[in-house]
Amino acid sequence: MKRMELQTILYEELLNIAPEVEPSLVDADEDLREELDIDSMDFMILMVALGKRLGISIPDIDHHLLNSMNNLLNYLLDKQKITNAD
Amino acid sequence: MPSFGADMENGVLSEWLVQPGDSVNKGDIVAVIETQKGAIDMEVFQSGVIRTLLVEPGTRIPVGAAIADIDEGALQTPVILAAPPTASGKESPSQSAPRIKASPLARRLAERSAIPLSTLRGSGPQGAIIAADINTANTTNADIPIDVPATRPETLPVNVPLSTSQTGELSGMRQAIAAAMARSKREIPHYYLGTTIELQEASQWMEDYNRGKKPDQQLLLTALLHKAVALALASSPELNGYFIDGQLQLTTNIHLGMTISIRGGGLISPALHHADRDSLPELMNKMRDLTLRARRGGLRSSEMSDATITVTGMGDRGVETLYGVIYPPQVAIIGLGKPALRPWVVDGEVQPRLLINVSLAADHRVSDGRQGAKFLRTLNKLLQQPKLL
Repeated sequence: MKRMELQTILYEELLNIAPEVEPSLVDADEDLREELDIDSMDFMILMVALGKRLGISIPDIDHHLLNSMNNLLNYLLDKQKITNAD
Repeated sequence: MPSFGADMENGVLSEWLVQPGDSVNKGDIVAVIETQKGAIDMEVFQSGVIRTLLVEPGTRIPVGAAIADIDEGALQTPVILAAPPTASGKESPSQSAPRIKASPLARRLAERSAIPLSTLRGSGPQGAIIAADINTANTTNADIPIDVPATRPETLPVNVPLSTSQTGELSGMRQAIAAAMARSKREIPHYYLGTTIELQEASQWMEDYNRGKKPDQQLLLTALLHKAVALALASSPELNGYFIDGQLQLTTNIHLGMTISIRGGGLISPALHHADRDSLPELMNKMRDLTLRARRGGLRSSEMSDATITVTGMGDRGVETLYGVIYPPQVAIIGLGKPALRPWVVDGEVQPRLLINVSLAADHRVSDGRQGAKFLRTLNKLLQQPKLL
């Protein structure tokens, strides 16, 4: 899956937790939770939804790697490659 | 037409999910009602066969008005759908017609543009219709005159912005909150208590519990806090229930209203039914599910109307201390501050500990500070033994 496709999926899932946010206007290098103003419940919902949709598991020890939109996309991209290689 | 909360006066029927001749069981979702708090799935109060639908989609209906006739078998009498004071539909009914999945914003936009949802193809999650789909439909039909009257006094007072979170869109919800909170402050003599509770033990226990578990099986502190509140209420019944027209209606059913921020303005506090009976993982699932449905649509009428007490807090993005305003006709509200590592005296020494400020606002007509203080003490005790939650 390409980065653009992943981005589309991420944007769709963001609609469920922060429907008023226009994801393309979010600073993709800034702190994700600050930018989206989401709490731990929203973050958890997002991780569960992405995990299910992409068929990957996102362990919480990796959460520090997901601190911006760009980092999250990079992480998902890597994770997919690993999952596909398995 | 049932009331989905003390602050609801009317709603717009946006969709019927049943037809005349359909059999329904108490608790089945029969219609979607657009309210000031978004689209709510309306559950039916009695079993029977739908005889006539009295109201067309798009109609604004006052609370208490008849919207359908139900044939209750032997009785053969037309029954009006009216609100029981405290509906407690806990059954999980089967849906009798496929629901059109659409975000609350999309529903409003579609209503505004007079585009039936059934004619749209959703591009959102699971094929849900989202705001962008209505825009697309509007653009596609640009040269076809759409019958949108310039002023539509009978519809919700919404001015829908597309990408900004400005005030117009949620003015309906603001009005609902204004009415309920003004009534609360006018009628309910609040007393306020606050205490600091150590969460070190609870948080360590939770970390151990979560280790190695998938995200959807993990717990958050908020689940532990809600469960502890529910359990503590069992021994403080005077905080759980309603005060209506001078009549006290306390209950042993503990339905915690969970406060969820509706992004862009406003909040909603649907009920976690029988939160005291759920295991922590069950409660966590329910809380995640309610949060999602509060944002996406699909809250049920019983969830909207029968919370017996409210728990409010802004989670880890909140403030140190939060004092709630009681949601009438309830008689108490619990305020959860943001857990934070702060200095605390343990065995005569100052140590960094995870602490939370918990507040209680309660109706002084119904209980006294001494009872409120006992509740907070019990809550503290429960949170020191997380494995018993």
